[in-house]
Amino acid sequence: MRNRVKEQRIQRGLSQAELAAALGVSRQTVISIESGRYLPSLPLAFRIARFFNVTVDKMFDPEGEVPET
Amino acid sequence: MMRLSHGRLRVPAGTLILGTGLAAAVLVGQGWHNAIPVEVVTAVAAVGYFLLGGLNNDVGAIYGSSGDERQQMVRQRAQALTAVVTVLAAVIGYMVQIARRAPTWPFGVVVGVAAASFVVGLAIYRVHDTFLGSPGVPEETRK
Repeated sequence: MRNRVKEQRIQRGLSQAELAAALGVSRQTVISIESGRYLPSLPLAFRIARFFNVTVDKMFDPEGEVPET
Repeated sequence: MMRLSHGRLRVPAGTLILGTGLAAAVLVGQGWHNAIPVEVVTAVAAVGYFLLGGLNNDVGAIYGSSGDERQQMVRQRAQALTAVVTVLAAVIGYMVQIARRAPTWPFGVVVGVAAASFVVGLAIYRVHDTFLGSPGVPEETRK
């Protein structure tokens, strides 16, 4: 599943630690979500989407592949 | 970076309680000269777990009994793996004891407790309806 967490975070000039603090999760979890290694729960997915002021389906694309970094 | 929370004391406290129980059993069965090393190792392990629980990473969150949903999932998966390996080891021990014509009950107890815990877990996590053969009543559709 592809997500736009990293793209949105960089657009807003946030570090992974700052995003983690805002979402109430660890920095390691933000890293795992961005790399596609961890799929967040539905409540966390909504928190992420609301934080970036986008819809969940805009933030997470079930059809897409996580790009190589 | 270190952090302090009540949850951080859970693993060290559990280690201390179980280790002290083991040391007490050794004291009764083998005497104080064997019990003291057990208690010392227990205390060192408890301090070690406490220090690990203060780390600001996944290991710290897992040993500190805190952490976010991913870290809790990692801990639960690790515990599940531990349970599976323990049961497998107990079953192998059971078979070895049978072959040796030695008492099998300690291994039988482990397997029995694990099986009972699994059934209790199924009941606690609300699958007892399907577990007992009833698929549950579907919600009525409105016309």
